[in-house]
Amino acid sequence: MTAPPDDLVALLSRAAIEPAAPEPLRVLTPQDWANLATMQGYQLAALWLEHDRVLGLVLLDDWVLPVATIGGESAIALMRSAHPALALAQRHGDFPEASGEGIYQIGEGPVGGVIAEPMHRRLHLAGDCVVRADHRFGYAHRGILALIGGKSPRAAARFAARIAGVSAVAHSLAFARAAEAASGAVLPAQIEPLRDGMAAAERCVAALLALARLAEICAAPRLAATLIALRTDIANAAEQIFYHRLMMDMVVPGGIDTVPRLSALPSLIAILQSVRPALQRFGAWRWRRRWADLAAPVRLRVWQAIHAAEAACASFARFGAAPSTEPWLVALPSISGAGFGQAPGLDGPVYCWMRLEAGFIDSCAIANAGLAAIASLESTAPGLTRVAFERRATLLMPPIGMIDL
Amino acid sequence: MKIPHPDPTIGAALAQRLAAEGRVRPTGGLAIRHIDAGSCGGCELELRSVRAWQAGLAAYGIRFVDDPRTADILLVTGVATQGMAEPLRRTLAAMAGAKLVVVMGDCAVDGGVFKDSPAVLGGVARLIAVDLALTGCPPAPEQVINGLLAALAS
Repeated sequence: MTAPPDDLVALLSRAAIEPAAPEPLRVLTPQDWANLATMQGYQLAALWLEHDRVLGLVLLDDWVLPVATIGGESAIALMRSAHPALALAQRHGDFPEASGEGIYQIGEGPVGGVIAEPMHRRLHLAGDCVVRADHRFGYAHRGILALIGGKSPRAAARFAARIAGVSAVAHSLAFARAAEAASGAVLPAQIEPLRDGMAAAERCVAALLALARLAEICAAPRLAATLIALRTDIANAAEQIFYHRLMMDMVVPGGIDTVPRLSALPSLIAILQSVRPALQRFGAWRWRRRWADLAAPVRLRVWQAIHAAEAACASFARFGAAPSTEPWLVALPSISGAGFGQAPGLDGPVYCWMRLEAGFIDSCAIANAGLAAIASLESTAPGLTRVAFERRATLLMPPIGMIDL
Repeated sequence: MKIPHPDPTIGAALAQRLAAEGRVRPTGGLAIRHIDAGSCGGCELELRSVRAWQAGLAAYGIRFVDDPRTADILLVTGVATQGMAEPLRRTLAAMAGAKLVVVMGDCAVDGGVFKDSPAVLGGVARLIAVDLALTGCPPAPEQVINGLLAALAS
């Protein structure tokens, strides 16, 4: 068994990390999250990412918690410097019980209930009021980081793109930037504006989908259909330009995989420019009443969609203003080194750290700051009605693919 | 938004197979339970577009349900991970009457890019019998609707 360094605090949890005996991963309790949120001073450090068999990262605000294996028995979230949070370290087998008169439990997913995702949600309820909410993940562990290891960055890019479909470009971009930083590759000038535009368009789509789902469960199907149609138009335009509706496999280490069909770019820009007027309906009073309990998150999503659409248009304009005859794809030098990449996602940056050995990936870790939404969801659940909680979860829950790598 | 016309070639093999096996639809329509067996979420994005056609789909008797006991079709997305093997079997076992399994996306069909991972079992067919496969990464919404309509025509 590999022992963690002495100055690390170990937060143990069960995890779906060994293929032979997958178990649901429960990273931290809400109390753990709350305590971690109050801690200061942590910075991302490559030291922890170099730990043996790093599997992923958990982020909370500025906190980055690499999840690694120790002896193949448990997952361990490693955190720098000793802290009283050590007292919180505990193994998570069964769900913690909330005690009290009249409290009962409801489980949702992955077999039944409104959850179709591969996760289990346990709600403790008193009447219709949520007392405690817990999530358990790990069902959808695909071994992505194991697949990435040992391959060239170019060959492994398709796995990074499929971590989460809603943020395929963001994960690909962070992965590509890490590989480029590790290998010291220099990209042609026209690449970055195009990549930035793709990532922004993707963020716009993600925000639109979250709003559409909310409109569905708030009995506003026409509004939902409008937003979905907008998303479908963006996907169709993206397919025309980038040969894939989700823009997968286009952003690769070294540039853009295939020469895009730029003649269709104006149509995508036109659709993105229509996002702001389309979302003005969310301000209408008849809609506002339906999600009065979610005013702040809805405003956030609306702002995100509009801002991302405008950012995408600006990036594409920058790209169009600087035409270049340089190649779309450059070869990565086959050298050894480590690099860090970052790309904007809907709810925060996507991080990737990579170490190359003679041009092949020796170690890699990928994380998405959007995972912090789980902590927010669990910590704000007590006191909500079940319906209100489900709505909030619909709006804020990150894709499971981001969690179960 | 318009419902695209179903492609008669998509799902024709399914229709023949169902007719041969004498399966019936007890509800007169198709109630679909979707389950994610380990997807990246790309297929779910396209499925959302399909669900946005809810009113049009309802005209064909197609609806999405939350309870597998009331479902006629199990729509599976994503590669079959080891962690979802048992939930997938239980979901299918919970379905009453005719059970049609439709897999959506390359990952669900044959494991896709994840097929070499020890953490996955491969395509959904490794776990349960599959009646219709919708290939693509991800399949377009029109393709999904055509497949569902073909299943209904059966």
